[in-house]
Amino acid sequence: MAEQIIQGRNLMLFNNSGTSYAYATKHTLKISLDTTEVSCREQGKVKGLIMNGYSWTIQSDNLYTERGYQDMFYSMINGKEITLRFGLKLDTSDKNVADGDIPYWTLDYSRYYEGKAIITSLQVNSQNGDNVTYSITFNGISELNYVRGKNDVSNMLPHNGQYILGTDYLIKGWTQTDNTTVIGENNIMSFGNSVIYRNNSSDASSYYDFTVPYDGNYSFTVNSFSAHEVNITAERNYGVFKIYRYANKSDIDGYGEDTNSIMKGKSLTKLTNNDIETQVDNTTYYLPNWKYQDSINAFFNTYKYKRTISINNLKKGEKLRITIGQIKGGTKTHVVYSTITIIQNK
Amino acid sequence: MIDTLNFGKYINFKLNGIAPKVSPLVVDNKTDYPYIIYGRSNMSSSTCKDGIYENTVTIDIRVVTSTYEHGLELINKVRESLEIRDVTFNDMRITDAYITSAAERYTDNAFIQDIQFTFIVERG
Repeated sequence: MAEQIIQGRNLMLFNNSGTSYAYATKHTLKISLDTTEVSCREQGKVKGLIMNGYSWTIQSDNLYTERGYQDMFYSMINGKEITLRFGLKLDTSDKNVADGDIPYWTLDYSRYYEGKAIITSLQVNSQNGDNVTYSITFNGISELNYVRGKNDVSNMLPHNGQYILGTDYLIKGWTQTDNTTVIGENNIMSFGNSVIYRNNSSDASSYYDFTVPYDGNYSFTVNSFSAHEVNITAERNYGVFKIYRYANKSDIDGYGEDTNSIMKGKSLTKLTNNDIETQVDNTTYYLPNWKYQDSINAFFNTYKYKRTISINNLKKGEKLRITIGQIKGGTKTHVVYSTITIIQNK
Repeated sequence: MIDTLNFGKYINFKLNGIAPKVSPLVVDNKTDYPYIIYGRSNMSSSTCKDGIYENTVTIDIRVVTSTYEHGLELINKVRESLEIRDVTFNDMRITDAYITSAAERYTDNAFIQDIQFTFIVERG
C-alpha cells in the first residue's frame, strides 16, 4: 500500500510542551543549504557545490487573537529562545479545538522535527472586512533534529481505546521508579522499559503511579514474560486499597488455578470501598490467565502470562499504583519483561 | 459546531413586529399585506487548522406590501434591525452583517422589496 498523503491540517507547529499554537492557517518549514561553488577537472563543465552548513526557518500564519499575538510579541522583543516541534497531531478525530472539545492539538511524539529558534519577524495584517491575521517567522538557532519519541496517551484514555506501554507510548503520571528493594549484585530495576531483575536474596518490585484522568471504570492488564513467579499489585490512593497475589509454582507450571492466592482472606480485609468489593467477587480479578509458553532450561523457564485488574468507579484525580514484583528465591537472577495495557471501560 | 443552520431564529427574532406576519420561506395564500418572508440561500464554513472558526450565512428577505412607500418603510426597518455587528444570539456571535444585494419590483398587485444579507457568524 502506498504511503498515506498528509493533510495540511494534520501537520503543524507545536511548542515545547507539545501543544499547538491557536488558529493557525498555514505553516512553512524551509531548510536551506549554505554552499560554496567549486570546480575541478573531474567534474568537467558542471559546477560543484560543497556544503558549508544549513539554516532553517518556520513561518506560521495565524488568525489574530490578542493573547496569541502578545505571546509572540514578547518572545520576539526579548529574543527568547523557543523550542519548536514540527510534526503531526495525535489523531483525535472526534475532537475539535475550534468547537472547544479540546484546548489545543497535541503533538504525535512518535516522530517529529525539533529545534530551537527565535522570532525574527512578526507581521499583523488587518484588512477591512476580513479577519485579522498575523505571520511569525521563527529562525532556527540550533540543529533541526528528527526525533522519534513516546506519546503521552493519558488524555486519550476516555476514548475507550487500548494503550500498551511499550516503546511508543508513555502515560503521563506514570513514574519510572528505582524503588527496588533488591540488595545485591545484578539488582537492576528498570520499569520504564518494563524489565525487573531480582535475585535469590531479596524481593524485587517496582511500580507505576497513575493519576486517574477521568471518572470511569478501568482495567489494567499486565502481559509478562517471566522466569519465575510474579506478583502484581494495585493500590488505590496508595495504601487505602491493596490487592495482590503471589503466583506459586503450581500456577506457573499450569497444574491448577489460583487455589493458594493469599488475596483470599488477607487482602479482602483491606478493602474499604463497596465498588471494589464487588470487583473482588469477579473471579477474573484475582485468578490469572496463565499460559505456559516455553522452556529454556530446568531453572530458567520462561512463561508468558496475562493478568487483568479491573476497578470500577475510579474518580478523577485518584492515585493508583500498579506494582509488579517478584519474591526472592531461586538460584539465579530472574527477569520479568512486562507491558501494561490500560483500558477505560464504559 | 456553530448552529448557523438555525440562523433563521435570529432573523425571526430581529424582524418580529416589523410586519404583522414574519415567516420563514412561505406564507398562506390568503395572508394580508404586509408580510415578510425570509430564508437561507447559502452557507459556508471557514476553517483553520483548529477546525471551523466561522460560518458565512446568506439570508434572503422579501417584504411584500400594498403600497410602494410602505414597502420602503419596512425594508428600511429590516435593514436597521439586521445591519448590526458584534451581537450575540444564543450560542452565536454575529461579527459582521452587510447587504449584498437589494432589488424591488411589482407583481400581482403587490410591491416587493428584496434584500439579501450576509452574516459572519462565530461561536458565541
